Amino acid sequence: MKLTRDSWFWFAIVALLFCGVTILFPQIRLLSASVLGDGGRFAIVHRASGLEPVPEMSSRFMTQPLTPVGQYKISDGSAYDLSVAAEGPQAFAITGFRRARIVPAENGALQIESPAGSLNVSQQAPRGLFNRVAPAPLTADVQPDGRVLFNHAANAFVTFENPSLVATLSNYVSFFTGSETLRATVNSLLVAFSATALAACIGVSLAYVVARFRVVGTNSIVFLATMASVSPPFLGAYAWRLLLGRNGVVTNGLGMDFSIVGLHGVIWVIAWLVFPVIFLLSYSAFRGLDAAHIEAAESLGATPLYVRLSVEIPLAMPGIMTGLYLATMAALSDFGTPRIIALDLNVLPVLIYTSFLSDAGRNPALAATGSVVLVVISSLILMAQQIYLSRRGFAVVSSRQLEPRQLTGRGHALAIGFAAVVLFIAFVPHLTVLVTSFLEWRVGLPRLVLTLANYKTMWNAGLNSAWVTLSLGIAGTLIAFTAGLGIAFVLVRKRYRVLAPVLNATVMMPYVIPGTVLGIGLILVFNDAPLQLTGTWFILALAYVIRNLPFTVKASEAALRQVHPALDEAGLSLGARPIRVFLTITAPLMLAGAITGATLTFLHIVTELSSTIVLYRPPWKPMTAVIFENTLVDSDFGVSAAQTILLMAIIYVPLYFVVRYGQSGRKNNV
Amino acid sequence: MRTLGMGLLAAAAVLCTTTSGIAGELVVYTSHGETTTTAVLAAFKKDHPDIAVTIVRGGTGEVVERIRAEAGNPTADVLWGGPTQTFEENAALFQSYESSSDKDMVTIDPNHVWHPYTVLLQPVIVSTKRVKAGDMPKTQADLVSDKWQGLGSLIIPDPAKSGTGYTILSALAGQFGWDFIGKLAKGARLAPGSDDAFNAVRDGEAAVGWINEDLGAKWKAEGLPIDVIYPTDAVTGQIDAQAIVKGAPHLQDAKALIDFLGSKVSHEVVRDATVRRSARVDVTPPAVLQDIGTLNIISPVDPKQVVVARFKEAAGK
Repeated sequence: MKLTRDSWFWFAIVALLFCGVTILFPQIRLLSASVLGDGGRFAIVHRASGLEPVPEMSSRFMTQPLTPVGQYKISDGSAYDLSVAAEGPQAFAITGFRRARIVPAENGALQIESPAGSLNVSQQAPRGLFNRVAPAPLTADVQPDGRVLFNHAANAFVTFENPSLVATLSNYVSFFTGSETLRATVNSLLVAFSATALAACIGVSLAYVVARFRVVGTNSIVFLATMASVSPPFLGAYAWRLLLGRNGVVTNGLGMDFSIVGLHGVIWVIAWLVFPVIFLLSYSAFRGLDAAHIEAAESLGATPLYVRLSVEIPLAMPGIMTGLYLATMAALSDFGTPRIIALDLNVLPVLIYTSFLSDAGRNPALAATGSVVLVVISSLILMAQQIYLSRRGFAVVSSRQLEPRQLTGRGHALAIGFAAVVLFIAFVPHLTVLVTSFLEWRVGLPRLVLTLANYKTMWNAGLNSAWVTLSLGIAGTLIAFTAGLGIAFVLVRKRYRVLAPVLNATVMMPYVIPGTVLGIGLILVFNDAPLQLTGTWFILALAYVIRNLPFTVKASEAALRQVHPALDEAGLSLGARPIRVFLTITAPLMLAGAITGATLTFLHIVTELSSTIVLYRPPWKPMTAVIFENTLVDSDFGVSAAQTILLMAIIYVPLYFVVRYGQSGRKNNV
Repeated sequence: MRTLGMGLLAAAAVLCTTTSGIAGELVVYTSHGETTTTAVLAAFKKDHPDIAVTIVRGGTGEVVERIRAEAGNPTADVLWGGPTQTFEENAALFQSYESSSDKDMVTIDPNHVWHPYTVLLQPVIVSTKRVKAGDMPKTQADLVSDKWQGLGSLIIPDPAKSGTGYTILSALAGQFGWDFIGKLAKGARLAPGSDDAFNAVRDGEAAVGWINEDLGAKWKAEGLPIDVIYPTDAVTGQIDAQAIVKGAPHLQDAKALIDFLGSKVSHEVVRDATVRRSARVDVTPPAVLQDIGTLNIISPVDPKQVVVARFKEAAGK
């Protein structure tokens, strides 16, 4: 068959173009934004005491005092060589522009055009609180002798800015020399690794106990851990702060001088957020161990402890490492937890968010630089994991499933107790929110008065955000899954040269892109015509689809590998077109795997916070954004608690049915 | 695949119905809390039953950044809340409208871009959990002391991230000089936003800080473990305003809201709901707040970049 008549080939091309525009291009934009700077600026303040340069508002331009006090020489070392002198109390003159031309600009600003280029001039003047007159406007006139005379308001700061772009590494230099940015980077690493370590202690040991011993209620334990793995990301931080903050319910009740706010709190909360994924992957790794290896070790006289350390754990290590990797990535890119519980502690995702979209500190270049650094860190972690897996890669032929060992009565009680304690702590946030949603809230604190008022307020305010969440969740899941299925088919069955590996690499990129960074990248690319998507629901759906593509592709790949190609070929040999074969044979056979994957995608989408918070525009405001903002602004948390309960219902009801479906499906296969 | 297609259609249908339900509403971005917006909009509804209002809440900087990001294709009609300086700095994002009430205010924007709403002072807040009655600060100068460090420190909203933080530090620097700020910053903690700083003192995470006076009065009335003190040497203040966004999709409704927000009725509602001083000359201030005539009110002098950079240097960070 000719390649050009193969519809899959065209699908692969379209998919690659789509991924290129929506995944690769925003990252390139971010990278370029981090290495571009403006042509510099200088500022002068004119007070009663005379002219003064303002180094804080200057860059690239150097200012030197000249001999008559109050006059300065200003140059950027190339195009401009100017000198400035005061002319009366609210005016100064600049010499050195050749053939200057003044062009008025928006909002009282000016532009000076000269052969050296153009400079934007604007003024900022202090204004008394109860003043009724405006500061004098900024004007400029070219004098016959070539000087430019500026008239301005009293005590004004006048800024001259060269708007042309130049390539520079200065953003990186200031990132790695600024102590705030450096500290945020160190904090991020510290949080990621210590939270993962703590979560690993909890997750791996619980997985070992549950997988290797006969423990009552194993299925429930696994189900509860699955539930915990898809909790809304900000839930834990707020609940723990409510309980254990300086003014928390528990700390106040016991009169403790303790607060969870700070680095330790971030680590604690994130550890409980990420432990379920470690548990689930370690659990399946331990369950997949082969009986023969362990029996061989035991027959050679190894003690149980020795078997554990030298056979069981090493064999389960690839699974555990994947869990650790996913946990580290989640901890590194978590935005909600540190924003709520860290107070004066900065981490990279929060730094990126606040420098992109927040009070006063708007600094898109810093946001871009921080984004690039964060993506580099997560790529390095991915590389480390890949290298480890390739070194330790081995295949275990599982001949006989390992029988869980019987425990003594006391051992059994201990195991159940351990699991109960772990699950209790993991669900403390859920319980806290459930209880507080029925309490009366005043000035940001709950009172012990039972009420349904929170639910009533939520109902009256309208469930618009719930609709947004649901419709985006459904639409996003369908798109992500259809695309994922198709791409997986191309990757597994078609294996086009060059095209397939490139597509694979592009599709997997979002794996290392934290949500905040992904959101900012999309804004940079899709904020202007011809592809203006910001402000629409579409950009949210797009972000959700991109974020979940790696996951849906991998899940579909796994499902596809279980469908033997011979079945496809049978269809083809009977004359069916490739697409028809895919739709009528391959896809239905993958259905079970696909449904589980789609459900998880849906759950990821409805709990997504970090890209939502950057991208949403009213009226398209999903529940996560509503709840998160309500917990930050000192408003009625009771309503947020009620909304969180509604969100949990949206998450856990489908999850329950899928788990039920999965269990019955497994039984049918047996 | 047919079911998938149907599903996509269904999702698209859901999306369409949700949009059509929302279209045609006045969209207001605000940094005011729920207490303000609910009370005032209820009164607005009485005057204009035909205008439905959608509220989007966020920190001042955050909502301004959203308006900037949307400038090509605005969603918002009105920005309600934020100090006058914010509107001046971002004048390009708003459009002027001469409301008949502009002349009744304690201050006026000759360009009629912003319309004043409330006068908001930032007295000192102290955690009575952390600080004993005899140790209370009386002046801004008292905040420079090593004793706070042992009690949970002075907490400063980072001027790089908080508009309130900028107002306070710029005004204090203008009044007392940058050396004073350097001494203040020594041993102080930095909060990423003003709400974080307020709540930290309320919860006793920090010993002392500044607070918006309406919130302080409310907390005090609720019996929370705090004290609110108006420093005798100087008190920082700002005037809150509102403005119509440039290119507002619902211009007529936006003008109606601006007119209403300037009216005496609305100023009395906000005074009673939130304990704020009105910017109208003919509305008496709330009784619980200290008389403004006895205070030395100061306001920002240096621009933001200067304050952010000098503060960073002063804080040794």
